[in-house]
Amino acid sequence: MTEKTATKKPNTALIVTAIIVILVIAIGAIYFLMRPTPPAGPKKMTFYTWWAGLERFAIDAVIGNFTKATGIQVEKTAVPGGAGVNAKYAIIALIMAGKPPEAYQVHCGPEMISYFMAAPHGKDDFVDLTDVATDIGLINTPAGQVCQLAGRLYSAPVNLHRANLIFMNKKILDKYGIKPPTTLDELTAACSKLKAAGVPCMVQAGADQFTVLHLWEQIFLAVAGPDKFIQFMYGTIDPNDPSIKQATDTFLTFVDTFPSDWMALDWTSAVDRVVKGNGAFHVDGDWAVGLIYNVYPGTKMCPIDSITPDCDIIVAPFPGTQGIYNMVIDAVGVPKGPNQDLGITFAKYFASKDGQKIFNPLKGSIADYPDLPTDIYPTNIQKWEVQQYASSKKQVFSLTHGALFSDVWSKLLSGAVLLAQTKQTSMWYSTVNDAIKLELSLWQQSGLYLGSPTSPFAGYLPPWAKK
Amino acid sequence: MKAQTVALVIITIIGAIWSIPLYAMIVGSLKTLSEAMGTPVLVPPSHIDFQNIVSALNSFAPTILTTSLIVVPAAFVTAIVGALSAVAIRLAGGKVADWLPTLAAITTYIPYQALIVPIVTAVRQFESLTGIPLYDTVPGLFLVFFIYYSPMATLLMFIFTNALPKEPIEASLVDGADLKTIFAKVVFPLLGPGFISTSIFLLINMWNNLFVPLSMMRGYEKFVTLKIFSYIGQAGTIYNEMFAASLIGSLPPLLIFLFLSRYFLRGMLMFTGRTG
Amino acid sequence: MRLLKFREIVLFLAPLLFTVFVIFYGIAWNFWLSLTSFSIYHPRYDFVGINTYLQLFNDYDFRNALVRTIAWAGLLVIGGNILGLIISTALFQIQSNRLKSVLTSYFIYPMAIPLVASGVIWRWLFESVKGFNAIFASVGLPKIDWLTGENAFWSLVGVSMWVYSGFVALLYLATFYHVPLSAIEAARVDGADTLTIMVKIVIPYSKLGFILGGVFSALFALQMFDLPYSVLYINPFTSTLVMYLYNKFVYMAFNISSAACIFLIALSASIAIPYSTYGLRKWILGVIR
Repeated sequence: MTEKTATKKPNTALIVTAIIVILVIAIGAIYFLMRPTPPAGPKKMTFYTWWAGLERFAIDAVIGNFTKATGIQVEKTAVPGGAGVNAKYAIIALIMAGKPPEAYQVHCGPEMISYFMAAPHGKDDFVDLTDVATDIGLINTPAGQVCQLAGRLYSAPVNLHRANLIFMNKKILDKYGIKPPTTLDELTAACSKLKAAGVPCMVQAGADQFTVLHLWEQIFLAVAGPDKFIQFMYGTIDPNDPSIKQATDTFLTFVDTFPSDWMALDWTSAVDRVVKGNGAFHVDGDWAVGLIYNVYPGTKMCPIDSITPDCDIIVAPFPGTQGIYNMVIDAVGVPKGPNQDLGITFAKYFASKDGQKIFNPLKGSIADYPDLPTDIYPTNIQKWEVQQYASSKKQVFSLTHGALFSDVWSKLLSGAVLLAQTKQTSMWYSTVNDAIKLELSLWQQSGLYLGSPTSPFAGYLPPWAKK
Repeated sequence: MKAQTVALVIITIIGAIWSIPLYAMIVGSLKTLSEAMGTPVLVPPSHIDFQNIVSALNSFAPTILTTSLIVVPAAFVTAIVGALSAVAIRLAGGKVADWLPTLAAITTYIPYQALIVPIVTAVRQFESLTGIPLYDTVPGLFLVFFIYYSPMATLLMFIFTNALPKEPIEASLVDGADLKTIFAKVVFPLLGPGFISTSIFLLINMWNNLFVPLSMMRGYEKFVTLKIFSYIGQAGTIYNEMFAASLIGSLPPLLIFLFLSRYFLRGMLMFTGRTG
Repeated sequence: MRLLKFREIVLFLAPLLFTVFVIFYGIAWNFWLSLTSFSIYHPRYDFVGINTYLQLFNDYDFRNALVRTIAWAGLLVIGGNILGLIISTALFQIQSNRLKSVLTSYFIYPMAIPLVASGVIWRWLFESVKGFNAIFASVGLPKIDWLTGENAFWSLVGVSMWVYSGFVALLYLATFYHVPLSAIEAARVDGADTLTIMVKIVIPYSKLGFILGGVFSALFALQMFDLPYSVLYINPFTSTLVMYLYNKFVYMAFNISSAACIFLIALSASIAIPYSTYGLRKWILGVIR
C-alpha cells in the first residue's frame, strides 16, 4: 500500500463512523417523534414490582384483567433482585426525587414505615387506603389487620403465603423407615439417622441466604411459641430469653446435616435437590409449591394429612408449629401524586376478591378472603392451606419476609449464614442482641404497631402504643 | 517454532477455559427449565429445544432495537466528545492540563448508584422549569448516559492521545491552523485504536447498565438489561429463557466491535507505515 | 502552548465542563447528606458533621467491605494485567486481521454478557451436582468447596479476571499498534526472535498499556457490584464498597450510604491524582520518544 492509500483509509474510518452516528441519531429522532403515545397520559400508570420470572403470569393476568375492566393501561416495571432490592432502590430513589410511581409493591409493616421515613412529608405522601380496604371487605381479615398501622391502612394486601412449611422427599423417608416428623425431636432424630447413612438431611441454600434465617426462624417459632415470636418482631423480647439459645442450638444440629456445597445453592437448587432425591428435607415457604408445580409437573405433592403411596413430596407445617400460620403478605402501596386515582383504582381492584381470585391461584399463595371457594386453586396444597388457615389458632408475621426493618433484617440474614458456616454462637448472640435493640428503637420511634387500637395484631399491643 | 504457532496454542488453551460459561449458557438455553435446573451445567441437553431461542428473539427484537437507538449514538457521541476534550486539554496546557483530567478522573470513579437521586431530581426540576419531558424519553436517557460517561471517555482518550507524536500537531500549529482543523486533519485520523477502544468500552458499559434505565424509564420493554431481569422472579427464575435472552442481548455490542475492528487495526498506518 | 485562542478551547471543553459540573453537583449532594443525620434511625436533616464518618468506620461491615474492595483492586490489577498481556501478546502475533478481530471480540465477550446471567452460570459451576465438582468426581479428583468462606472471595476474583481481562487485552493491543515498525524491523534484521522483540521492544513501548490496564482494572474492581451481587447476594466474604453503599441506601440509612460514597471517591482520587499530575503525563511523554 502506498503512502497515499494509507492516508486515505483513516479518513474513511472517520467518515464512515460519522455517517453511522448521524444515521442512528436521525432514526432515533424520527422514532422518538413518531411514537404514538405520549409518556404517562391520563389513563396510563406505572406499577413497580419485583414479581417477575415464574410469577410473571400471575401479575400479568391481574394487569390484563384490570385493563380490560377499567381501560387503564399499566406499565409494569418488574425488577427483581434478592427480596426485590433493585425495585426498592428504584422506588426509594424516585420517591426522594419527587417522581414516585402511581403504585408499587410493598410488604406490610416495617417496609411501609420505612417509606414514610424516606418521603419528604412522611405519611402524608401516601394515600390512606383504609376506606378502600373497608369497601372491599378486606379490613377485617387477618391480612387486613396486619397491614394496618395503628388503625390506618396504607398498603393493600393482595395475597397470603405461609412460611412455616417443611418439604419432605417421601422416597427417602420410606427407604430409611422414617415417619414424617411432627415434632422437633422427631425431626432431629430423623436427621441423625440420615446423617449416619450419608444422606444430606436438611437442604438449605447459602448463596441467596434467605432459607438459612428462614430455618432458624421456624425453629424459634416452634421453641418460643407465637407470643414470644411477636415480641421478637417488636423488639420487646428479653435478649437473654432462653428460647433464643435453644433455637440456636437446635439450628446448629440441623446445620451439621446440610450438604457440603450448601453455600453454592440458591433456594431453587435446594428445592431441586429434594425433588430429585439428593436431600431429604427443605424448610421454606409455600412459594416452593409454585416452583414445583411449574417446573416439575410430574412431581406429586401431598399435604401431611392425606399421604398416598404415589406421593413424591410431602408438605407439612414445620414440626412444632402446627396450628400457627406464619404469614408472608405482599401488598400494593399508592403514593400521593397527580395520578393517584389510577393507583387507587389499581390497588382496589388487585386487593379485592376479583383481583385476588386471579392472582393467587397462579402465584401459589392463597387469597386473604377466607370465604372464597377452594376450587380456584390448581394445587391440592393450596386447598389444604385454605383449611389450615381457617383452622389456625394463631397467626404471626414472618421475620425473614417482611416483619423486620431492612437494616436489622440484613444483619440477621448474613449473621445466620455466618453462624451456619463458622458455628460461632457468641457472634450470633451479639448480632441478635443488636437486632432486637435496633428493632425496638425503630418501632418506638415510629410510634406505630400492626393492627388497630381495638384489635392489635395477634392481640399484642406494644408498650409505646398505650395512649 | 513460529511465533504464530506458539501464539495459537496459548490462545487455544486460554480460549478453551474462556468458553466454559459460554458453552454452559448455550447448552442451558437449549434445555427445558427443569432440565436446566437439574442436570450438570456442562452436559448437553437430552433433546434440543430451540423454542427458547425463538421466543427470546421474538420478544427481544424490539427491545434490542430501542436499546441500540439509545446506546449506539450515546456511545459514539460520548467518545467523540471525549476525544475533543482530551485533545483540547492537551493543547491548552498549563493549569487546565493539570486539573481538568484530575477532576474528570475523580468523577469517573463515582458509582452511578450514588448519583441517581440527584440526577433524577435535577431532571424533574428541569422538566418543571422548561416543560420539556426528559423522564422516560429516549433523549432523556441519552443525556443521562452522556453525563455519566463523558468524563470516563475523556480520561480514556486523554491517555491515548498522550501517545500521539507531537510533531505533526506542532507543525500544523506553526502553519497557523486553528483547533478545529488540527483536530479533524491531524489528530482524529490517528485515534483509530484508541477511539475504537473507548467506543466499545462505552458501548458495552451503557448496554449492560441497569440502574440508569431503571431510574429513568417506566416499564422494561425499552431496555435490554431491564428485560433480562424480568426473567428472574421470587417464585423462581426462568433460567433457560434468560440464557437465550442474554446471549442474544449481548450480540449487538460484539457485532459492532467486529465491524469496527477493521479500523482498529489500521489506525496507525500513517505513522508506522505498517501494512495490514 | 498558548498558540490557540482561549475561545476555541472553551468551546471544545464545554460539554465536558457541563458534565463534570453535573456530577460534582451529585457528589456535593452526597457530601452534604453525609454530614447530616438523615436515615431511618433519625429521619431529620440534623447537621452532625464528622459523626456519620465515625459511625461508618465503627461499622464492621464497612471495614470488611473496604478491605475486600482494596484487595480485589490489587488482585484484579495484577491478575488482569498479566492475563491481558499474555492474551494480547498472543493475539498480536496472528497474521490474519480477520482472525485477530474475531478472537479479540471473543475474549471480550464475557464483559458483554449481562453479569446477572453469567453469575448464575458461575454459581452453578461452583456447586457439586451441576458444576466442576461433578466432573472432578468422575475423574477421581478431589472436590473443592468453591464458595465456602474465604474461597468465595478467591473464586469471584477469578471470575472477575475472566470478565475483564479481555478488555485489558484490547487496551494493550491498542498500544502495541503505536510501536514504530522500524524498531521491530531493525531487531528482526539483527536476528532477534519474536519473544525477544516482544519483551525488549514492544512491551516497554507499551507502558501506556500498563497505565490503561491498571487504571481500568482498578476502576472495575472499585465499582465491583453486579458480579458478587448476582452470585452470592450479601455474603460478607464477597462484600464490596459499592454493595455496601447500595444496601445502606435501600435500607434507608441514607447518610451512611452517602458517607461511604464520598469515602470511595476520596479513595479513588488518591489513585487518580498521582496518576494525572505526576505519573501519567511525565511518564508517558518521557517514554514515547
